[in-house]
Amino acid sequence: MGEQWGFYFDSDKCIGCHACSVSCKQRHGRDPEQDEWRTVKNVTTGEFPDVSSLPISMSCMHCSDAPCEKVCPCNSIQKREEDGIVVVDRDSCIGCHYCGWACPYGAPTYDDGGIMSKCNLCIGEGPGGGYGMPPREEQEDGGAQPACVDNCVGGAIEAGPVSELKEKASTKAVEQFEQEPANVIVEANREDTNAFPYEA
Amino acid sequence: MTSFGLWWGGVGHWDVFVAIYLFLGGISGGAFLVASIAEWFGERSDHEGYDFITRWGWTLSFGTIVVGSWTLLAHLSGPFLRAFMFPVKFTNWTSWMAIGTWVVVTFSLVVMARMIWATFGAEAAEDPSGLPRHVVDRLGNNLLVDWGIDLLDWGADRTRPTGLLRRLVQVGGVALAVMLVVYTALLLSAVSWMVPLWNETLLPPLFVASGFSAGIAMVVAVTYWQNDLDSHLVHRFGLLDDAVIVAEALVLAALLYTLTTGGYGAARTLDGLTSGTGLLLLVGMISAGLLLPLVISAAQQLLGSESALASKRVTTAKFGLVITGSFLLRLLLIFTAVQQPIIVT
Amino acid sequence: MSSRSENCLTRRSLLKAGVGAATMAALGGCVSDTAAELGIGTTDRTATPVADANTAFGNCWMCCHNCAQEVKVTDDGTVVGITGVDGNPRGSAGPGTEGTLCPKGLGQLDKTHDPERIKQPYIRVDGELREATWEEAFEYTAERLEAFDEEYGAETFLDAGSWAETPIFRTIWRDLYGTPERIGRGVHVCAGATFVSGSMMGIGSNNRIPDYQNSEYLIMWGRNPLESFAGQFEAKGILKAIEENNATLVTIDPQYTETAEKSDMWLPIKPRTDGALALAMANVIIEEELYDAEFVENHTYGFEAYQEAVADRTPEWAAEITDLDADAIRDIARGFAEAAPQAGISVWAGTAQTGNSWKTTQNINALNGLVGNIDRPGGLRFWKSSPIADPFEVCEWTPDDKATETTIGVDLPNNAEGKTPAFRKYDEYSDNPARHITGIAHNLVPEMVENGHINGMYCHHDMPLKDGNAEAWLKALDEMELVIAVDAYWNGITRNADVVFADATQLEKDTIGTGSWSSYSDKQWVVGGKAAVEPQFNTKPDWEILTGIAEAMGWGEYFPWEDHEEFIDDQLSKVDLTLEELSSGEANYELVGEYGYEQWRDSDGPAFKFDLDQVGPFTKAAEEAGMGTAPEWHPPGTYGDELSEEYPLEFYDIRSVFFSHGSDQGIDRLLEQFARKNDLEEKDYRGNYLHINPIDAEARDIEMGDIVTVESKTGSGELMAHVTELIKPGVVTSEYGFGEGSTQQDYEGMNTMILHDTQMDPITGQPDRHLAVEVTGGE
Repeated sequence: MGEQWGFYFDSDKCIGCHACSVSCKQRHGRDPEQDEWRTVKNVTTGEFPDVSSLPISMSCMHCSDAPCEKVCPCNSIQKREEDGIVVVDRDSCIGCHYCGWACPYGAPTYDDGGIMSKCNLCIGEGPGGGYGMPPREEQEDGGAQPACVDNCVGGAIEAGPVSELKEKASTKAVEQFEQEPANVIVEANREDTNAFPYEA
Repeated sequence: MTSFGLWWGGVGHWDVFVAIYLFLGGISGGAFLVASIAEWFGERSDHEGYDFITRWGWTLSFGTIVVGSWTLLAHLSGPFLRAFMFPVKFTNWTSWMAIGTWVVVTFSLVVMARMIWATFGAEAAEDPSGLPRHVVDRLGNNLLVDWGIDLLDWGADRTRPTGLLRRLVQVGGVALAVMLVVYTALLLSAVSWMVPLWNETLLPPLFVASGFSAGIAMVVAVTYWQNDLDSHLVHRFGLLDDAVIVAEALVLAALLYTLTTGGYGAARTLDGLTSGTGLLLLVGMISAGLLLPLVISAAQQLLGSESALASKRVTTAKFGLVITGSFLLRLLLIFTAVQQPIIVT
Repeated sequence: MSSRSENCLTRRSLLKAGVGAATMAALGGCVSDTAAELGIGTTDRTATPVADANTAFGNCWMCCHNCAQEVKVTDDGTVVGITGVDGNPRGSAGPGTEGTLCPKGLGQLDKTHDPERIKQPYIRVDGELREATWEEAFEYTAERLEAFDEEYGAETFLDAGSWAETPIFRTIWRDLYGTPERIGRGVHVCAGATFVSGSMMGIGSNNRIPDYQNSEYLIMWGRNPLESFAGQFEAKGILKAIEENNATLVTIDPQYTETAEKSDMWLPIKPRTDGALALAMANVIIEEELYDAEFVENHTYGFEAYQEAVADRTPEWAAEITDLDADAIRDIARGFAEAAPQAGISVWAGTAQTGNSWKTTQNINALNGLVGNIDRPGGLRFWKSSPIADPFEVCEWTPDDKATETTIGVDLPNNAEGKTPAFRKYDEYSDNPARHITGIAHNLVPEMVENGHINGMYCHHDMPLKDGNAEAWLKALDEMELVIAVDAYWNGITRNADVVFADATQLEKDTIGTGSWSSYSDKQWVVGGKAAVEPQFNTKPDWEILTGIAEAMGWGEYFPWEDHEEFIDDQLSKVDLTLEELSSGEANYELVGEYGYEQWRDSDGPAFKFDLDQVGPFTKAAEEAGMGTAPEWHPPGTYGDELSEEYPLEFYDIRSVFFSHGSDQGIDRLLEQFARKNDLEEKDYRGNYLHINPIDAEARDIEMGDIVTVESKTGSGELMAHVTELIKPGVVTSEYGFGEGSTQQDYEGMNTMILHDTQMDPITGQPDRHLAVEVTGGE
């Protein structure tokens, strides 16, 4: 198997501007009101004046042991051998929404007549893109920079082979990452924020 | 600050068609079980009431699974034509949806065969429980293909199994019926790690109990009215129904209890069940499906068969409540289910 | 808007209903089954339109701050992709860093081909706007302008051409048509006091943008530059200062913003009390001798008056006024002074759009002089624009009548010479101290129209309706004899204009930016590009619109350039560049010069003035307004509204990262994203929100998503409530630019200026946007 690709997210650099969501929708030809493949939310806690409002940008985590793939009756969801990117074959999806229940991150979206689509780490363009595309290449080798990475104003989102991302990350973030099935390394260094996300 | 926030994902991936399907799948399996039980007793008794119940059981089981399959297709938001390609497309054997589809197909074939064997042929019943044959007869007359009924009669008599094969079909059918109901539960509980309400241990027995109790209610009520079923038999099946309902109540209580310790998702589910529409559904389900039927049965038992409460209407109403409860349970399980949040600290 | 998500629902419902019928079809054997054939989106997995398209460049004009854009254009001229340019001065964090676009900039992709744009010129005939050819529109405009001049005088025509992408609108209206009336942005509606007090004290308008990247201590004073920036480099520079210099970030803001989220300290100050906080900080800094004595001694003027002004202004005194903790005030005073000169304060509109803004900003500005951070690394920076040539001086051309001789330069007349703007000319305005400082006050324009002192207007992308007394302006538009509008969208101005010129947007025209502040602390730069696509629909770039008007007016001889590119090339001649060179290759910016710090050493006199008693125009204005010339404390209500029992809440308007002026307000994608940001996307409403603390909301039975009424003593409006812990109790805010007259087609939301009348800062005439209000109407 080729090396697993993933995202890197540094909440200290996310300014909650939604440029990633906008740019993702533009790259993949999606209308404004459609559900997002990459979505930003400010998680707000506390009472005035002891408040915090942490902006988080999230998309498909391209999980190592993808629950969506397991439940899909048609094998329409595929975890690629070459780069670990989870893609969907829209020609066989029946729109049963089972993957929606199974996904811990709310990644699958259903529109265009109910067929599932989601982040494909920009190996293709558009909802149908991704499935059956050649292995992910790095930008310097001609691979398309994922739209969200390309337009992250704060430089909070990066993408690449997981080993490369780990080199950029703090020990704490890597440790946290090793415990999760998700292929996203999350950096949250500042004192108030120490860990995210997935704990169910 | 040590506080944390929760990011709740989208809600309600499924619509009412799934709830209807789960309900119809359950009641179809339940009806099959009732028919099998009545068949078993019928073989050992001269009471023709068992035959009525058996025939109605197959027929209603068939009817509900046919409608249920339609609603199953209807919930799919993709191009529905694809669903008909399931023998080719449903290839993921780790998915309960793929496995379940084959259970539904096999079950449907078995129940259809049993229905035809029971209601067609040389010894076909003239009474209302022979409904399928009456229907074919009527259709044939109108469509001018009157040989259709002859073909079915001929076919039923030629294929009706006997001896060991007959036993195999009986036992296999019961197993399929149970599998049908259990799979509708496993379909949900396969993602129980994300959805606390869909407990993997408790959902299968809950669905079996609910499907069986509703199946009894439906088949007996229909037979009661259509064939004027002996009230003694009605009473016996009613008691069986009550026992199943008690079991169902216990499982449901256990399920609700698990929500008190299942993390944020469970807590939010519980919140949903104790307010607004969720509360209405829960109270409705418990009263209609569990409490009222048991109260009516108890009252009938106490006041005796001569009392007004033991009337045909009241008994039918009780069965109606059981069926309603079974449907409300599916609505509840679909619409109050909450996925675990992402915890942001 | 109405079609939102309905298509999808309809489709789903249809599919369900169709199951029965289609089953028959399936059994009939016609199972053809690819997503594309079923009409549900592409399944051509190899289609990569963005990757396959050609690259071109743009110069983002959504908020007019020149972030460089890289666009992907298909062979048929459709823009399919848009992103930033690496290392560009305004849209990256500097050399070797990723260039990006904010949501506004990304919105240009949608804007370019937006079917809701104004697609062609219109002229008003018999009271109705009707479609016209360009020829007709130019002729009509010339006739109307000539008639206007004869009847009312050109000097009563207001030039409100704020967002043109070419400077020649000034040539046409001032030099050629001859009007002295001009309203701009900076002083008139953005941050009058910050701008003017900064200039008078010696720091210009540079008090807005500190030298972020070299800073160790940054105070965002009433600013939220992580969302509302003058170019993305601001947000990027702050994040870089935190990451690389371990800089301390302090935010002073009644609302908890994204900037507050990233800050080490957030001071939720009571609005309009910033002046008191600034005095108290000075008190600590002077008391503890933390100031730059050398700088104060040798390079400033008026320190004694300042010292006197802050003598008894202790943190305890200020704590009571500001609702802040005295220790917190001490903390930031010490932190700021100790880090100086690598410490900067960023101020702009937040502290300037109030009645007492003059002293507020003067007090804040004074802190810079005190710690000596002026034009020093990491402090305030005297940002320097790139030198460009004046094409009217350098152009080489051949006049028609002298076919062989080449001439250098154009001899422009100055037809506005000797004409005085109405504000200064007529007695009606003599009780406005601001007339000593500026030639016009935004909120007085309607009155001037009523008095017949202004009778017409040229408006270019500007949206006066969102910047001042909106209702009075709407009435004034109606009364004006001639309104010429250049814009890409229908809004309160274009709908009420007599001539509407359909403007091409930034990717459809040649552009150039030579700005000052950027992520390059010591470099001058130019950014620009040739048009990436043809003008869409039947639109024209503003250059062609303006020269078209000039031609029709008989001024063609003053514009000898073939096209805008030639004009830009003349501008660039000073830095030895052409537009072609600038926009070919990998990027569309060039660094063209370098400059050092401490530029105040180059000029005579004090670098910084605490006391403005020697600034003539100001002393006159101050005297009339009844204020001193040195820093001092003006409590809220001295000028502007006082909170009362009837109007107990303080309202002011804010900006979001999604909108800027009028250029992108109507883009569905941004409206949708804005709703998501506020967690109210499920509501069928895409207007602005009233941010209100739960304490204030509960007291009024208001819940998240309720439509509420905001009422001031001068107006009222309705909008949706956004109940949040992130705002100080007693304060309510809303995003400006929505509601009546906005670029949004249905005018959804509330025009925050509908609450307004003529409230303003007496010194600069800047509209005072802090109003006492009551909120009612929980559902």
